[in-house]
Amino acid sequence: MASRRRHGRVLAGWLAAALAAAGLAGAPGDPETGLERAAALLAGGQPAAAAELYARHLDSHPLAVEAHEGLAASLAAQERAREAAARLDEGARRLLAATRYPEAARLAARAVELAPDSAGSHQLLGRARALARSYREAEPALRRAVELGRRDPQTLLYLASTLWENGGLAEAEQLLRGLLERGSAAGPAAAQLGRLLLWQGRAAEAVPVLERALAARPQSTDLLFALARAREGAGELEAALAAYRQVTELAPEVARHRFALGRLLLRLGDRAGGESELEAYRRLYEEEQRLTRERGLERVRIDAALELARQGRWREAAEALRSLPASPDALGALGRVLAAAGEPVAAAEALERALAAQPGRRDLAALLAEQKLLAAEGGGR
Amino acid sequence: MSCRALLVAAVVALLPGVAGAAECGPLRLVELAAEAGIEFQHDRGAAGAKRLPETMGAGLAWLDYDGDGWLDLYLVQSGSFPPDGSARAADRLFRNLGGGRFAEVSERAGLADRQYGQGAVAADVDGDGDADLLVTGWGGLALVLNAGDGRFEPASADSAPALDGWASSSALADADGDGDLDLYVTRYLEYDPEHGLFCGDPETGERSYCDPSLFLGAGDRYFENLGGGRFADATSEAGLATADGRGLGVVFTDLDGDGRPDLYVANDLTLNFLFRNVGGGRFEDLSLVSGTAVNGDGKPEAGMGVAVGDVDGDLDPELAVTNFDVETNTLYLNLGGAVFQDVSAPSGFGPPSFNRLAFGLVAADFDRDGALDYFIGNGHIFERPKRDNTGYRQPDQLLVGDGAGGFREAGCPALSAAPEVTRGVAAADYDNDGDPDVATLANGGPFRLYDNRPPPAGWLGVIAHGAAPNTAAVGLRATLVAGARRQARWLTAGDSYQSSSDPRLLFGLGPAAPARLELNWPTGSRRLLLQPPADRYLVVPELPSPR
Repeated sequence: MASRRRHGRVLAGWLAAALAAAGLAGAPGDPETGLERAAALLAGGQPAAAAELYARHLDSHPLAVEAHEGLAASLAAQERAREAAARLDEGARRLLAATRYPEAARLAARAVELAPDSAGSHQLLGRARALARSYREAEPALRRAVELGRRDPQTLLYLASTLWENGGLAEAEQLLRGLLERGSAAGPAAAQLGRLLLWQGRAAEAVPVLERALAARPQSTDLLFALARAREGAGELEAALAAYRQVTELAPEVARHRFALGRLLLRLGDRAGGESELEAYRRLYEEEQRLTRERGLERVRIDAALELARQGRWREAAEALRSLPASPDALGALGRVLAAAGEPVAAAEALERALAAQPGRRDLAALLAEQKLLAAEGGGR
Repeated sequence: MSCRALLVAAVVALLPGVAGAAECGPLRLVELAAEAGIEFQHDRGAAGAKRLPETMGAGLAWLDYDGDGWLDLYLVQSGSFPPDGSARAADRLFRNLGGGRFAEVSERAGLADRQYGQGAVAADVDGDGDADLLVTGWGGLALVLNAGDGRFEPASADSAPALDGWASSSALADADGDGDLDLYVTRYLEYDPEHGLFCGDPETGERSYCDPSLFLGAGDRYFENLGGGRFADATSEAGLATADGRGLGVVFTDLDGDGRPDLYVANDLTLNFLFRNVGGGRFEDLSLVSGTAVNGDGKPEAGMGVAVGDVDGDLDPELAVTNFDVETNTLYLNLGGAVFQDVSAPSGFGPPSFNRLAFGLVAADFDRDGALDYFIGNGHIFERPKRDNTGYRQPDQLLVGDGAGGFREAGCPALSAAPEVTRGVAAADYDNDGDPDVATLANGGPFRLYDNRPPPAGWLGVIAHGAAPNTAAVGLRATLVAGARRQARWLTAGDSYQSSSDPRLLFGLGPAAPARLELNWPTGSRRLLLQPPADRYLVVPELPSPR
C-alpha cells in the first residue's frame, strides 16, 4: 500500500507536465486556463477570477494539491477564509481517500491556519499526520480538535490510537474506557482497548473487553486470535485452546494461528498435535518469507525504474518496467511512466491490463480515463 | 593467563569530573570516555550509496590482555566501504592503566587489523592462559593470538577459521566437551554491494538502506577447535547446516541445565535459532518448539542482540533479544527443559522499547540490589525513520529489574540527553570498584564509557580460573545465595551485539551477606564456598574434574 501511495505521488508531478505537453486544457502550462494563469490572476489582484480558474481545474483534477491551495488563497484574498478552509478540508479528504497522506496533511494544515477554531480541520490534520506516521505532530492536532468540541467517537479513537503510538498508554486507556462507558462506538473502542491491555501484558483485564469487541464483530479472526492470546495469558488454557482451534479452522492459512495453537498444544502435553501445527507454521512461514522477498524485490525494481523516469530517462524506465513480471503494480507504474512520457495509447493499454488484474485501483482508473481522452484527442502517441 | 589477577580489594574510585552525571533511577551514570583517555570515533564509511554494512557496526570487547587485573578495551573500527585496507579501518586497543585511565597501545601490541570491522570477542582460544581476539567483519574473520608479552600475532593461515562473507557476531564455548573453546560466527546476508536495487524515495532520488528482507540470509558457521587454537569448519557435522537465517547476535549458554552449552542466535526477520547441544559436538534445532524463534504472536522479529540472565531468581537463564522499533524487545522466560515463554509485555521489558530500535544489550546488576537489570543500546538504521516518534539517534535505556522477573525503565537523563546510534554494548567493572560499568560504541559516532555510581550495597566478584585449555572458565555457572535472594550467572564469551563483556562474574548483594557460592565448571568440576567474603573479587581455581 505504501509503495502504491508513493508511486502515485511521484508520478502526479510528471503527469501534470505530460498533460501540459499534450495541450490538455487546465494543464499548468496553459496560459488561458491553467494554474499559471490562475496564479497570475491572483498575484494581479483578481482573486475572484483566479478562484474560478482554480475551481475549474479542480473539476477535472480533484487531487491537484496546488489547485486546492490556489483556490484557498483566492478565497482567502476575498475574505472568505472559512469557505477557503472548507475547500481545503474537502481536498484533504480526497487526498486521504487516495492514500496521499502527506499532501492531505499539507492541505489540512493550511485549513487550520485559515480557520484555527475549526475542530473539523484539526481533526483532519491529525488524521492525515497519523496516517503519514507523523504521530508526534498528529497528537496536538487531535487534542485541539477535541478541545474545540470534536468529541465524536471516531476522533477519540484516532486520538487514543495516536497516544498509544506516542507512549501515552494511560491516557489512551482512559479515553477508550470513557467511550465504552458511554456506549459510543463500543465495538471499535473495545477492540482497541482490549489490544492495548493485551499489549501491556494485562491479559486477564483484556479478556472481557475483547469478548465485548468480538460480540460486536463476531467474524473477526483478528479479534478472536487476540482473545485467545488474552485467555492464554490469563491462564485460561482450555478456553484459549478452544479459541485457537476455532480461529485456525476459520483461517488455517494464517501462520501465527498455527504457531499459537501448536505451542499451546505442546504446553498441554499434546506433543504430536503441537509438532504438527508447528510444522504447518513452518511451511506457511517459509511461503511468507518467499512472498515478502519477491514483493520487496518487485517494489525496489519499480522504484529503480521510477528513479530513471524522474531523471527523464523515460524509455529506460519503461523498458525496466516491461522486463518485470506483469503484476498490477508494475503495469500501473508502466502506465504512469508512459503517461508522463506522453504516450497515452501505450499508457492506456498498460493501465487496462493493470486494472484487469486489480479492478479496485481507483487511482489507475482515473488515470486510464484521462489517457483514453488524450488518445482520442490525438495527443501524444 | 599468567598471574593475572590478584585479589583486588574494592576501591571506590574517586574519578575526576562529573560532566554528564545524572541520576539514573537508583544509580548514577557518568560518561567518562574522554577523561579516561579513550577518544574513539567509529568510521562507518558512508559515502552516499547506502550500502547496508555501513549501518550495522560496530562492537567492542573487554579483556585483560596483559594479565594485570585491569580490564582493557578493544574497539572495532570499520573504515571506508568497500574496504580499502587503509588505516581508517584500524581497530584500537586501549590498555587500562588503573585509576580510571587508559592508554592506546594498538601499535605496540602489534594489532594491524584492517578489515571493515563489525564485532569482537575475547577469550583464550589456544589454551595458553591469556586472552586472544577474534574480530568479525565484512570479508570474514581475523584471529589474533596473544603472545603473552603484550603483543598479538595473527593466527597462521592453516589454523585460523576460514570464513568469507559478512561476519557479524561471534561466540565461544566448549561446545563439544573436549576442553577447548569452539566458535560460532553469525553471517548476516548474502549481500552484493553492487546489487543495483534502488531503495529510497524515487520522487526525490534520495536513497536509503535497503530492507534486509530483500537479501537471503548467509549461512552461519561453526568451527571446532582442534586444539591450540586451530579451527576447522564443522558446521555440517554439528548439525548446524540449516543455520541460514540473517544472523546478527549470538550467545552460548547452557539453557536447559544439562551442563552443555546451547546456542542461541538472533536473526533479522527470520526465525531465531535455539540449538540444543546434545553432546559430542552436535546440536538439535529446537527453535520453534522452544518458543524462542518468534515472538508470542508467532511473528519473526528483527533480532539484533541477545543476552542471557536469570531475571526471576529461579537459577535458569532467560533470553533477551533486541528488535526493531514497533516490535518491542523480547524477553523469553525459561520454563525449563529448553522451553520458553514470551513475557515481554507482562514483565514490563518490552513496552519501553516500542519506539526504539535496539542493538546491543547487557544484563547486569547495575544497582547491586541482587536483581538483574538491562542496559540497552539504541539507534536507528535510517537517518530519516519513517515514524516521527522514533529518531535516528536514540537514547540508550536502563531497565531496572525487581528480581521477580519484572522491569521498569529508569528515568535516565544522562542517556536521554545524549542520543546516539548505538550498536555495541558491553559491561565491565573497569575500575574494579565492584559495580558493572558500561561501554557503548555508536555507528559513525563516539565511544562512550559510563561509569556506574550505584547506591551503597554489598557485592561479590568471581575470577574463575579453569584448567587448560579453557583457562578463563568460559561456560562456568555460578550460583549465589545471599539473604532471601538466589542468583545465577553464566560466564559467556560473546553476546550482546558484536561484543563481549567482562570475563569475570559480579553479584550485587543489597544489604545481605553472601551465604553460599557454588561454581560449576563446564568440565563438571564444582566448588562450594560457604560464607564467602563480600566486597571483593575472589580468585577461584578449578579443581580436577570428576569426569
